Amino acid sequence: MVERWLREIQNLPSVKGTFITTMRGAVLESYGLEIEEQDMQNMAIRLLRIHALTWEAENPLTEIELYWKNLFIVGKISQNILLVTVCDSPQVVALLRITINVSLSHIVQEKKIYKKAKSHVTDPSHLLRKGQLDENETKLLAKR
Amino acid sequence: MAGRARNFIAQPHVIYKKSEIKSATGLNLRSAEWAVLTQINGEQSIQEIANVLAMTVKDVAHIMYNLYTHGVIDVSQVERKKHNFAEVQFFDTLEKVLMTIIGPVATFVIDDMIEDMELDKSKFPVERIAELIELISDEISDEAKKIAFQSDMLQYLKKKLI
Repeated sequence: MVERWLREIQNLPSVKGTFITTMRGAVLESYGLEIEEQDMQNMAIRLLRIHALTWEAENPLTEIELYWKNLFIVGKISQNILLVTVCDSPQVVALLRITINVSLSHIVQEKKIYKKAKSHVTDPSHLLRKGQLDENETKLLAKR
Repeated sequence: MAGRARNFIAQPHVIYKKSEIKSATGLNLRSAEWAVLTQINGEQSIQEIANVLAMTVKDVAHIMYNLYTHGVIDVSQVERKKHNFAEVQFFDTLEKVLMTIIGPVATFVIDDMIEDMELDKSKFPVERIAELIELISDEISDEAKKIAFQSDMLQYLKKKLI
């Protein structure tokens, strides 16, 4: 069922694929993308950090659009779910946004998705503190 | 490069395409230039690209001039595109759906939005229908009602236009 709504988005011109994550960036489902789950997670975390920054400023953004390399990325957050759409170019942006809104409203009602999303609810500001540990830091932690 | 620059046509209806000979790889482009370049597809005019990116025609034409002088894009179509206009039936459906959500003010909201877009109901381009639906959606404060409106109109668009 979730796949059906992701496919709705993917059927639009220039859309390469879509994926959904929890508010911690864990990938729940993806469609049409030939990239590693880890890369999807990294992309999601960057979007969630932008969201977290605006959340801290008490004006949280729920729609984020940006260019990454030569791709157009749209992130939409609703009910603790992040839906990311990756496009070659923003050809039919208005139609894309409408389709994303409608699809996401159906996806969040899926029991499986809803449960997982709920269990991953977190204070958005945690994402701003969480960074990647470099090699030296990992070694230091291993010593303790 | 100077000779090529002279051939650039900056009129809003002109359509450009990506060059088949030279790519942008290796060029140091700014984000606005990337944004314009990703829009150039041999189908969208300078005016349409400006609308999508919320930029002025002048700015888009300026960026495209630079891309053209670098040989990254070529002219695709100089003649004006024939527009498909939305049928009366579309506005009837739009009004009917919106009326069930916001009541009798629906007609005024639709007319206001069309006016904001500097367009006319009788000559409303089909390619801007989704934009109109999105603008009207912004006027609906209740999130559930907004989604219901978008969902109904999306179904209509799929049946009739896509």
